[in-house]
Amino acid sequence: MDIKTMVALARRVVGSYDLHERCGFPHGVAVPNRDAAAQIVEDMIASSNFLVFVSLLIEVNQHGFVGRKIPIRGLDQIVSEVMDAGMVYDAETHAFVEVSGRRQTSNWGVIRDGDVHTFGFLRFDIVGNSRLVREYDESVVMKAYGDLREIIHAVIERRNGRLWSWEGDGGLAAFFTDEVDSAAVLSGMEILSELVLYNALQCPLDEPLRLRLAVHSGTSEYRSNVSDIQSATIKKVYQIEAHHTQPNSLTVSDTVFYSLDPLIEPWFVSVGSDGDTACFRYAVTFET
Amino acid sequence: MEIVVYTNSARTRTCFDAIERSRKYALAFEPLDGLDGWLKNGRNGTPSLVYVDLTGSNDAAAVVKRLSRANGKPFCIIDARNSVEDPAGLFRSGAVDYVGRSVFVAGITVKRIDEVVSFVRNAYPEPAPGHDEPSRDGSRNEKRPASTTRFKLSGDTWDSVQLDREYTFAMLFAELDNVVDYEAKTSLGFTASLSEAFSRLVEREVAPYQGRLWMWRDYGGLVLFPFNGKSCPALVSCIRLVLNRPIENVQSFHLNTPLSFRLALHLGNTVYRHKGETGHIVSDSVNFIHHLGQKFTPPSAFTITSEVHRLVPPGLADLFVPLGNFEHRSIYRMRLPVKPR
Repeated sequence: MDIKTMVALARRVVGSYDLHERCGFPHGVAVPNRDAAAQIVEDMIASSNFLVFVSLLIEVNQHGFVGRKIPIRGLDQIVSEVMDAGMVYDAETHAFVEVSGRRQTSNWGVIRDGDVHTFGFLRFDIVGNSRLVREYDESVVMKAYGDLREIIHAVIERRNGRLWSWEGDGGLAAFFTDEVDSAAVLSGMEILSELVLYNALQCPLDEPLRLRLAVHSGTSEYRSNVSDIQSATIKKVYQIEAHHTQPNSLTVSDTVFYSLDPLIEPWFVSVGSDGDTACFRYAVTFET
Repeated sequence: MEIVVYTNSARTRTCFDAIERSRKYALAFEPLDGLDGWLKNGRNGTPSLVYVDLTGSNDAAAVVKRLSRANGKPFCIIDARNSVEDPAGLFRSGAVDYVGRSVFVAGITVKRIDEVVSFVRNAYPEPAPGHDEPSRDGSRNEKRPASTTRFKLSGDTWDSVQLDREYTFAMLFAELDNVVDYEAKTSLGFTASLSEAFSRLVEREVAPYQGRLWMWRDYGGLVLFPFNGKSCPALVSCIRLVLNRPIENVQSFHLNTPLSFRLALHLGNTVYRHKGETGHIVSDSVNFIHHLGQKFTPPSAFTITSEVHRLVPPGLADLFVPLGNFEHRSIYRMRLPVKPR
């Protein structure tokens, strides 16, 4: 690869990248190819852009660059080592993300503070939290809520989701890759199934533990401190859960509903709207 | 749990009207002279709660004496005329319920049966001696299931299970329902891939409960779970499979129409050999569970035999309703999740 292409690629990631300045070469003096490559890689790592850069190389290797085919030598080995480190390349987002079940950071190891992406959000809230806390021993409530957290965590992790917040009586899960709407909805449905079994077999309370769940998707910024996130999408999913969701059910927005697999749609029923968003509800109901 | 009432009185039947209406328990009425058949031939493992009607009996004391010698089988007494002088003594002899005049007149409630069943399950953690359906003359019933349900416990895990020895396992039959439709419309290769996806799904769900895919052919097969005599964790894996069926249709099968499957669960005995080496195994239980799954279990349904029903945790009891009898066993089915109307 020639120096000009290397610099062009580097500037795709770091817009103001100046190879000569970084190498300490005067402008007008040619930088040897090998030195240029080593410096660019070192700088990408130092600026936490290495995975973004490798993602770019994958795209270039597959689709070329400015009309030219540019095979990247050694790319397979680079990708293999990244995967060994617990990351996987997601073709949908053209980015590396953490492998589900291994590392678990809230940003999937790749999203930076301030980045805006499309996320699927699953909001959940424990029904009657104040009363439960009043009526039961703290240890019993903590046990039940701890069990619930484990259930929710296991379910969302299976679809590479992340628990962005847990407020004690509720929380928010986010999905970034792998069809975010479907991942969030199927997770919500599976949580309700697990709740049926949990309440029948393990719940330490004298009554079943009940949840309200809601799903909505859209663009949102990411912040490592979730309370700093300004997101209309997150605000919306909270609203849907608070105003349109019955106990032990999952309510989804229309944008999410219409993206669902047709096999899932018949399990939902329309429940009206909150003005600009129609909602659809799912619940586990047994034949009589 | 099946309720069996030994009585010669039509009036006693009406005492169980509430039980019959609730359909929560299978209910059977047998003549009093069939009691000897149960006392002689009753086997381990078949779950039942036996009520013996002493009303009008000329020799109630002798009946009670015979019951008290029935090798630890729990029994219940109906005494509509309060003829038993010391009802408390009945409990020392193995009775778990006494229905005197006032209860008889008011009628036996479902709540009462729930409490007695719960007491029996706690007091008799090993499989309670079961009820065989004796013939009318009380003689040995030639039509009883060929496989006995005498338990040879295989344990909580596979650690103590040895090859070529007979054990009791929880046996799960699982089969895809409507693959023939796909065969006609697609290809053998496609339907084979469906079958493979289904077997992977089943394996994944049963593994946390010690389940092992033991036989697989065409579109279904048999899973074995070790059995400790006290609980049947396989139930939970089956219920979860049913609850998550809409999810798996999207995740595991990727089809345009929903694929359904049926499940049947039984406790039975077989010699254990490795998967792939089961061709010469002769087991009435294995035959039975295949018949139950293929001939009696409706599409999409999850059925369990009375042996398993006895072990359903109280919190899940409401999920199962009687379906009928098959090869002389009471069968129950799980109430299925339904789509909204």
